[in-house]
Amino acid sequence: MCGAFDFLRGFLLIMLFLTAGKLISSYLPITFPGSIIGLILLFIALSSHVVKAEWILMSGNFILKYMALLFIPIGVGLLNYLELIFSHWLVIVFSLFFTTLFIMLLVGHFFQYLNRNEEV
Amino acid sequence: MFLYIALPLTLTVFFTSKRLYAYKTWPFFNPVLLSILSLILIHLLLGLDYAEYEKGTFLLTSLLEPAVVVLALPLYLQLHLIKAKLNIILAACLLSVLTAFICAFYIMPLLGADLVTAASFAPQSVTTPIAMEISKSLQGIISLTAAMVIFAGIIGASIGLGFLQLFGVKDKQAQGIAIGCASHALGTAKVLEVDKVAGAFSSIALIICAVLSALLMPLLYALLF
Repeated sequence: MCGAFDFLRGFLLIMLFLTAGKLISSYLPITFPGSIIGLILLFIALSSHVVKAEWILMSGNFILKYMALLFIPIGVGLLNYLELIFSHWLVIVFSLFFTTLFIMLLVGHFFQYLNRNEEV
Repeated sequence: MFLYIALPLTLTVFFTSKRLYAYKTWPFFNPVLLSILSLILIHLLLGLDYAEYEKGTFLLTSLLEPAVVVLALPLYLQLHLIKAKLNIILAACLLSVLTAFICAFYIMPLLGADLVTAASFAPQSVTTPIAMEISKSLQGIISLTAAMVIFAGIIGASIGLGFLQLFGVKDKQAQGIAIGCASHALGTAKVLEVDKVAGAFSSIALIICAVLSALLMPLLYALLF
């Protein structure tokens, strides 16, 4: 019973922050996703202890645990782009692997170097 | 009919993929990739309608935005670690955004990408909603960007940690930052499963990169092209 209440309270809070983010986003002169604004608002609320971390811990962890699952329908949506993908496949594959792995390696080493005092 | 089967089918495929992954840990058995490929194959073989599938799995897709909001939680819980390092995190993210821009607009054209294709590639490492906005403002092909973002995420989620380990990035925090920068929320979801601290760094990197890209890429594009 207590668990269900906890879960619901967390979920409603998360939706509240998302809605606030979307509302602000609709008034901005530039296009900027409401979800990121919601994230920043929730972060501010947590840091200033307006919202206690325990309130959203349960539903938050539940969503994070299954976050990967949420990408699947969009991924299946690639079906619509098959032609586009096939006609550009070489440069697509190269851009994906080269850029992704290159950024990872460059940024990883850069951060590791800047962060080196930590290790000693 | 398919409308009602779409969600249970997706869940079944996902949890089967997860079990397979736990059973035999080979990077490309990544549950997300395996699920997507299986479901695409099912669609093609049975001639199913994606529009109906999309409607049937609306519940999952509509949880994506709340999931982005929830990323505030790991961020807050690891705040003590991140606070002291905000400067170097910002520097790393700036490097990432500039590298993505240079790769797309200066390296891909060498391989025959035109300006429109390059513009569609530029935001490939950024989380989907922002990537699509950036693509739009660079006059890219939005659907191509959406596809690229997912693939970039899958690469990071499937081989990212192993790749970084292999090439000498052993620092957990650096691994988190690197995957957050290159593979946005999909990579971060994977890192969070493995290590909470690295996951927090991955979350902050994905957020800062998204914000920096949204601000800088249209500006750079306007200045240079």
